[in-house]
Amino acid sequence: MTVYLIRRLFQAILVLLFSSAVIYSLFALAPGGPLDELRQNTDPKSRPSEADIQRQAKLLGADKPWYLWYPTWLAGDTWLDKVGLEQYVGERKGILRWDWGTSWKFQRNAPVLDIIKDKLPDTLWLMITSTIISLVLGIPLGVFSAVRQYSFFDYILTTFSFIGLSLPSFWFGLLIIAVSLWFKRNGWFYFPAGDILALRNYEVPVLGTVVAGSFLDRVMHLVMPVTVLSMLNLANWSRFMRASMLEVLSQDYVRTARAKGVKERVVIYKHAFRNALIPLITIIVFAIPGVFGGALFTETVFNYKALGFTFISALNLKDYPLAMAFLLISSILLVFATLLADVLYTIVDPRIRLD
Amino acid sequence: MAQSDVLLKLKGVKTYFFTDEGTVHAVDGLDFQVRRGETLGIVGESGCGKSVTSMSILRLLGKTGKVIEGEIMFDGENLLDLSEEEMRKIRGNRISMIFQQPTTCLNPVFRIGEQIIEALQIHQGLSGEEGNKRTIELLTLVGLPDPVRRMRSFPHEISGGQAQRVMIAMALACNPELLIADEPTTALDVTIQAQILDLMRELREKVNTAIILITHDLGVVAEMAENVMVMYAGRAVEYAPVHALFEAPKHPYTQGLIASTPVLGNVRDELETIPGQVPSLLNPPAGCRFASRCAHRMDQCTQEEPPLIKLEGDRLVRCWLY
Repeated sequence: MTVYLIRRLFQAILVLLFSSAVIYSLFALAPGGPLDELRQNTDPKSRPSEADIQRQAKLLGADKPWYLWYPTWLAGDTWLDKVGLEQYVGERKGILRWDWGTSWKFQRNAPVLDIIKDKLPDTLWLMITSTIISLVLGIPLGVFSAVRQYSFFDYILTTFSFIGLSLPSFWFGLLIIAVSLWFKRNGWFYFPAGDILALRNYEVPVLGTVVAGSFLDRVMHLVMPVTVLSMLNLANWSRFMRASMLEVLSQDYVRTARAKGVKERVVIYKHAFRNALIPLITIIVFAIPGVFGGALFTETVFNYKALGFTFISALNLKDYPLAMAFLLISSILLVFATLLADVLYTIVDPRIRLD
Repeated sequence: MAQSDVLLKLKGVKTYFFTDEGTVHAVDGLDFQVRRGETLGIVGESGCGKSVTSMSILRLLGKTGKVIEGEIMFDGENLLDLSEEEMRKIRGNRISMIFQQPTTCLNPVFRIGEQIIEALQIHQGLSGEEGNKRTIELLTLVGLPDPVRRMRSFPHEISGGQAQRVMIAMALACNPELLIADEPTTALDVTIQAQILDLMRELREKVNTAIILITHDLGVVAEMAENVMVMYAGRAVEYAPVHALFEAPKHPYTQGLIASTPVLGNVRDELETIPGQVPSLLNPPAGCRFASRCAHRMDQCTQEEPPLIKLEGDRLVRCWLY
């Protein structure tokens, strides 16, 4: 097991190096760059001269030829004179020496890690809440509808799942915003239509005054985006759990358990459930990178500016250090999740061994 | 024959499956009985209702199947009248069962010991040290080598033959009065088959359990059973003591079955076969169900179904020839 984990760790490092190189190459190959906006300025008064643009480029480190971008990001540019590239020497230490760089545009010169740390709590609130809700509801619903296959409840859940799977989150999000606003106009109880926290205290029927920035305020703002996000996962996971459970319920060992005189409840929740959970591990573990990634559409619709929103902005603004940091962290989490899944499999399924 | 001597008695049992394609008459009026300590062989080809019969006795037919008519009297009680809870107390306790595929019948995520102890715990309240002790006893009884270590094994770590021994240990855990063995040796190698049959015979002497042995292997029946019931398309077609059956099979179907068994050392170009196919159980034909494949067919056969006719020496046969 230890040998296996060490081997996997080395593999993980290789995968991360390779994937970051590919990602950076794609950035370099994509048309345009961080200086495009300056060059596209046609206003004769504020139009920067070519010398200004070059100075900007030097500040960002974008003056280097494309093949030096990735090495700089990885290992910094303090050592470039040793390979005969004196003109490109700078002060960057590179990701290998824990220099994540500073944002080019999103928040000019702010350290990338600070931006991410700043946005992370809001992202976690949103994603963890919706993931937990989806799991806590999805698994029992799936089991329940498998046990009562083709019952009225099963049909209701199936219908609900297909609706949940087919509703685009931006459309469903707008729909509940509209409903909430209609409630508000009628003076009924409502949830705030957007933002992470309110700026001013506000009145809601039943609850009274909600203090801006309080825990209650956060919960009020989370309800609608969490609903939208949970809808999709819930539909997905309950379907998956149902299928897995149905498969297990038709196995011979379930019949053996019944023939042994085991109570039906125990047959389902001990003999069958334990086996049905095994394939679910993959799905649950791969939700981890998603938790960090945030939710682009939902964040946009609800003006909930967390990491999903930050990432897309970084891409649009060609803020490569920020986008790279984001992608690197996502890759690390993904590689880690794969490893975690493999280890968890050995714990829940005695047939699987790592060596 | 004294009444108390009869352990299990089926009277006119009909088990139907209600499917999208229609009603499957899987078992269509079945009568038989098993005395205490007796071994009854039930023989027939695939789909004749052998396994459905056993699942009907244990009432484990699933959602689509149902015993719609008849009585299943077990020790004076009609199993069909019991509540689900009462039935559960009989399963694995007074009636237990072993199956065809021993390796898939054990739950892959629990240790072998845990799975046996579970039965002891449910029916006898044995757990902890007592449960362990009894489990080791049982595993020793079924001849599993190194039972103390094996208890901690997972099902994938043992062979098919060993798994069937574990299944037998589990089935015998509560000293059942009736053991239903549904093709217990079909999935095993021939040498292992012999071992398992020896084991079952030996245990029958020790614990005096009645056995219903379901199989399509006439050799197994000849070795194990005292009486044999031959089933065809959901009905019993012949019932006889085992030796009488092999010496002089009466029903044309039984004759065909015995003729189609390969005999070791007897080289023939081709095995005897019974021409034709088993009729669909969705719409069983009128008259004798074997008529379409029978070499002795008469006009009467396709019009009216023969009753079970009593012959000398406790034999019954469902055929107009007699």
